[in-house]
Amino acid sequence: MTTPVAEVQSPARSAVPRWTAGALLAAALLLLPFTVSSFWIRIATEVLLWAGLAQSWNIIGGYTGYLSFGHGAFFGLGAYVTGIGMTVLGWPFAVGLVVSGVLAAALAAAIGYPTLRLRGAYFAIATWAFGEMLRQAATVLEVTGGAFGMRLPAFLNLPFFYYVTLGVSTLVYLTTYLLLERSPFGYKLLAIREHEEAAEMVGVNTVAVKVNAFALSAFFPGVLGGIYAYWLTYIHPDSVLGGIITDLMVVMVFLGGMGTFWGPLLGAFLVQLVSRSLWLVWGESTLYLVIIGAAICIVVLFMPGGIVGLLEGRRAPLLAPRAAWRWWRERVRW
Amino acid sequence: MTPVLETQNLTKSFGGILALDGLSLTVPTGAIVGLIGPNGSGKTTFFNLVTGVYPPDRGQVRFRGRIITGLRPHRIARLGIGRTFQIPAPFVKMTVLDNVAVGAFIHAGTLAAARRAAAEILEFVGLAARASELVSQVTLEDRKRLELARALATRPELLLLDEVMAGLNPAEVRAAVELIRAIRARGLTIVVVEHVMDAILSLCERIVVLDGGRKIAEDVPERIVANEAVIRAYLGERRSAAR
Repeated sequence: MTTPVAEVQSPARSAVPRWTAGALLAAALLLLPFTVSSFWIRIATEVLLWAGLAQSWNIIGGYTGYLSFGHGAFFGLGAYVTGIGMTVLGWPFAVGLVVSGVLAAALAAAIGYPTLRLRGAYFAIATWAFGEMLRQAATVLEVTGGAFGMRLPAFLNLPFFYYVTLGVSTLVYLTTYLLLERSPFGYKLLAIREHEEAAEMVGVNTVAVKVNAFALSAFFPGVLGGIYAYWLTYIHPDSVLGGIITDLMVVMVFLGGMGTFWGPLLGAFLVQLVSRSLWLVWGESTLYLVIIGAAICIVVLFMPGGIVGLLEGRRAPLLAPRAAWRWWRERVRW
Repeated sequence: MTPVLETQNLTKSFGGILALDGLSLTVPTGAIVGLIGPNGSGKTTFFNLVTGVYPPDRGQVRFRGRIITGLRPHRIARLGIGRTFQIPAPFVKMTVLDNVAVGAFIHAGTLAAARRAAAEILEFVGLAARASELVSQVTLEDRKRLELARALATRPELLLLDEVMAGLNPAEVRAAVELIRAIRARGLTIVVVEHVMDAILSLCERIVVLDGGRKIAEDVPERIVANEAVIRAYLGERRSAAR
């Protein structure tokens, strides 16, 4: 999004390889369940789920510049709404997903309308408090099964969940591309992030635009939460409303690059890869959280633009060691 | 004919300090009106009240006869009042072209249409060569022009310019004066807040002088420079203190 003019001027040169790469990637993603073991299908589903969640957070946190520290609440809300809908109310899975997304978006609009009017930490604190509130509610309510959680009807079909997650996460990226990268709405968000008062002064209805962005960024986590609940068949307050869910979304976007289109995907892929590898080595331990935390500190301190920010404007071939070293020295903030 | 802008008894105070004290002002259609006065005399407060940044404590703002007091800034921008900031307030991590395109969204439904409109305006203000650069790469003079271009992109009928010449060298000031004349020639009404006296005297048909939030004079430039109260409050003070 940073150099749209240059992009507009030279579409012919890069169009063919880009479409080829896109088609190859799509084919690989579609065929994946037929070629790998169930272990890898599970890993791939997780990566896709987190890629969708991270991009959702990026809409409000990266593009708009308002940090939501309770975004996991929309994921958990979706999980519980789908769970309750399917077990208590007898809804089909698809209905549960749609209701989850709509409810998450509606709640986001309700929280956003009063808190997005104020610049500064108010929004961050309000979203954090909302996340805590939902977790407490899920812990004490009867319909959610309290601290023990709830069970959904079992449907053990890994490729099904892989494809559903792939579909929804693709929709997240498609929506982000069309609505944020290629339409006035996204540029209004950027303008708000860069100078809110000036944006308002040139006719941007900043409050409405921000509330819409927040609702949009909450819709998809609601849907993805529903998928996650049905996939795992068992949810409890810590598994779908724990603070770690928000933390990971934030971390992935920071690592990949705030407000960039591919950053969240890269971040989700890397964080999942690293955390899964560490998990394989050490098993169920919290040590991998410490390592991820340290990695985040390094990213925030030395490469505030994330990986995408680092790669932008790259000239030197990264494989030539001396050029790569010089490039790294120039780009990384010491 | 209804004047473009008319304020009655506009009053605003901040924590006990009276920033604007009962200002009544009329800006006739097609005019360039200068607004001068020492620092803290209420010029920027006046702009903020007209554009809806905050509501007045008392008084009324009429735009083309319609009361706009209390409307939010984006509504007022849509009605046709454009404004530049004293300290340029660009969208830093966007290109020059996209900065202006954001202003064009009021009229343009698509990104492409907004960019086309923005490109035309950049041509008009002389920034076409900078279109694809990031704002962080352009000079102060260009940032001031960008402020103007972005405000023009909203297709205003009334343009409020807050010190667009501060910090520019004499050649740049002359260029800015020419640009403002060209904007007026397009049929806009302009209110200029400025400290650069040569520019404001040559540019404006009428000059309003504020001091301590009150209007102390309103006249044609030739008589303003001879006005005793003005010399005492503004020109005199500047000559003895600042220079």
